[in-house]
Amino acid sequence: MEIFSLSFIYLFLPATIAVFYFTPQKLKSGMLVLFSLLFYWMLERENILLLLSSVTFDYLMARLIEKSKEQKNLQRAPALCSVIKSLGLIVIYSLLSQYREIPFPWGLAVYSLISTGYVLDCYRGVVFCDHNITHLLALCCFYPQLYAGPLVSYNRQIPQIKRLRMSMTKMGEGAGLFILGLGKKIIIGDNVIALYTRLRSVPYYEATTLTVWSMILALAFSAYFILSGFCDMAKGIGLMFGMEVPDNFNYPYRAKSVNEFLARFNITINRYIRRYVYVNLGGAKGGMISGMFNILVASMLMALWFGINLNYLIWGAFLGFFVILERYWLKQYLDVLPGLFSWLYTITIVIVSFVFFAGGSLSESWNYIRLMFSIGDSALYNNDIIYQLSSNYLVLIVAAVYSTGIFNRLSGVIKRHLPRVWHLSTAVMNIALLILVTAFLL
Amino acid sequence: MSKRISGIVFLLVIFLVPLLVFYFRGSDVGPVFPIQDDKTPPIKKAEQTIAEYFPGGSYLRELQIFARYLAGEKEQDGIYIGGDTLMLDVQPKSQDTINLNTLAMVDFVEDFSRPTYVMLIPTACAVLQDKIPATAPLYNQKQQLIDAVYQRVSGHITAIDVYPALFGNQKDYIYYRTDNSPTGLGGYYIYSVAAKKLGQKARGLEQFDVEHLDYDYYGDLYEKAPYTEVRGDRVSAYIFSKYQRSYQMTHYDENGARRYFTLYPKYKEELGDCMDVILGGMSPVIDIDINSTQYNQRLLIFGDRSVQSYLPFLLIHYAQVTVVDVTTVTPELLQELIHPANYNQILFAFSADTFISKDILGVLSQLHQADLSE
Repeated sequence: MEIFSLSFIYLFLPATIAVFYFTPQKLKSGMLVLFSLLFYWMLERENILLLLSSVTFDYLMARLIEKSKEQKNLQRAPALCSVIKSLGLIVIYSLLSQYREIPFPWGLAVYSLISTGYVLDCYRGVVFCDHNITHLLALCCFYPQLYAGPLVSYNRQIPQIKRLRMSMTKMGEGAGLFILGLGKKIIIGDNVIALYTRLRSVPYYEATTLTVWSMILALAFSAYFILSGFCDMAKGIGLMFGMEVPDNFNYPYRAKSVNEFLARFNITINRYIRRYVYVNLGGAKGGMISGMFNILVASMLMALWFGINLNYLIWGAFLGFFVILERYWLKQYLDVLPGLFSWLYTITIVIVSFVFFAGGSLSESWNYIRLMFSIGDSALYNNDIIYQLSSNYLVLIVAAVYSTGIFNRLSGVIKRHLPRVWHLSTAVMNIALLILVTAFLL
Repeated sequence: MSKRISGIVFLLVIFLVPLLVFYFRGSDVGPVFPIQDDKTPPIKKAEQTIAEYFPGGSYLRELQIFARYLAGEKEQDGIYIGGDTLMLDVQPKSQDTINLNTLAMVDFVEDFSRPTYVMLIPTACAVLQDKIPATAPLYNQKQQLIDAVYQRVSGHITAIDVYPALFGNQKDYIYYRTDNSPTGLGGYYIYSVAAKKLGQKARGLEQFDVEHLDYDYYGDLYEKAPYTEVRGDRVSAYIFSKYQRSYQMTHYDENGARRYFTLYPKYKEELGDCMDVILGGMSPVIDIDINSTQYNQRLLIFGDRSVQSYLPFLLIHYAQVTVVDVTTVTPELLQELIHPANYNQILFAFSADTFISKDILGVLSQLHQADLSE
């Protein structure tokens, strides 16, 4: 069972909503943990002990920090242990999945980083140690966020987890977000990733310039629609149970600088890296060299979120390079450029950067770049790519238009001027989208 | 306000659907799942049940196919939607499969030394090309498969090339719109070429009485891609009634033998669909004895379900025809029932997609050992 399956939407979700509704208030967070563990057990029962032991370990580290609060030096060890544990697990399982084909445990990166973030917050004295492990489990293991985040923080979520309350307004808002997320994932994301997979399988010597551009574009769209789809589903389900989960994507392809792109793409991951790494390295406070170094480290860590791979590292470094350029040299020019030109500059850099994401190796990425810019004797297009594009034109157009945020702006305008129409059309569209998504799942 | 309405409607939908699913499932007395064993995890069973008994599920599936078609997907799940016709996209999985099947035929000829023929029947997507997007990456069945195989077996096996006959009559109703097989008329064009190569004089179409079995048949392709613009098919039986022919048709499978005294047991439509009427449907081995005829030759066909299109025509030239459906026959049945030495002619006749999809003729090696040891 997956979060986007029929059995989840029409069995698990209604059952858990019903049980949760009748659960006494003080047991609600415990019930949420139970649902999450049940979901995890059904999806990946062999790794449920890893999840529980990882979170329990961090719970104990936080307790140790609390116990040694008089001695700052002793507090460092548990914090360090938590960091080593989480990074170690992520690195080891990444390598195992790459070289031994052992599957990466589902949600490992999310729950490890959230619980380590909590330990680091305890260490820094930002939050008090929580004696109730249920709260920490609810924070780390809330099942819809284990797919792709967002990475939630203790101080923001725990007050909500302690007072989980369902309401019809939140249910409606959550349902809308959940259905939107399903639509993004099932109708757009899955189709563009299928297009990407087909184009990726075209042998290099048969690929044309248009093939590679289309492939990279499909990858960029699928990364956004699948990841943000999961995050919308997580937000939606969170709201159904009375909990607000933070945004993780904010129309990244609308950005007018690479820096802005990173601030809109995987927002909570970037915030996490900024909070626990970038600031501790000194951020932009030091000189230009240390500032550049810190930006580069932060952007490369952001890229490693997707897996430990040289190409991802280069992808992060590539984007980091442009963030540095913008911060120290280009900002003055970008500020005065008309919006369209700064957007064109950004989208070109971002799309090209996905070449590193797509390539299995640096040489493969280089070959793609050569094809994209027609270096050598590659053809511009062929029948195959025309057929692929004509078979997917509508989904690509919808993806492109949606990415610009036009639908969102239009919805805002209608809401302001015709609130009744907006209320009615939102409800109708939600149901229409649910029917369409269900049709795609059958 | 809209959020509350959305919330109420959403809750209604997600609570009502499972209730309806279990209501519909409860009233179903037939087999529920294709996989109904204890090894299937309960959640997977639940997923299958919801998908199978989803209220309005068939309409939703049609909606999905229609939406995808509207979005430009002219090919869905390996099926081309050519306006009013569905066509299977035939793509070889590996050249090895083609090689294995080709070599198996050659080995067979070397072992049994009977006059042997091969007939690869192109599928609809190779013939009705104007219904497929011009840029679609079609597998060239004629050049890459039919001609290549015929070239490799030349000298051993006589090739029967039905492609030109089908291509030349592509405006006629020669392929079902919803099923991956030739119609009776398509079968006639196949027969008219095959008969000549087999040393027979093909009879004119006017010598056969036509009886329409169904005007609204939906075949296997429609099941996979229920595109609403595609109309149901007309299924016809072509009956040669001259000279008082009578038939005795025996179907063999793992459950034993079933005997019919007609080529079109019509009661079978009530048990399955109209395709089960033509030759009584398909079985691993079908043996047909034709009485009251001046012909005395025996024909052994190693084929697939495409025989249903041309065999009603070809039968009239033989005293006995045995069809081995190589996609379903077991080595035991083959050893027990088939003795190639008893036949005057052997015909390997497959639809192109059957021939390239898997090693269908490996089973013949069993036959070699059994028959040669006799």
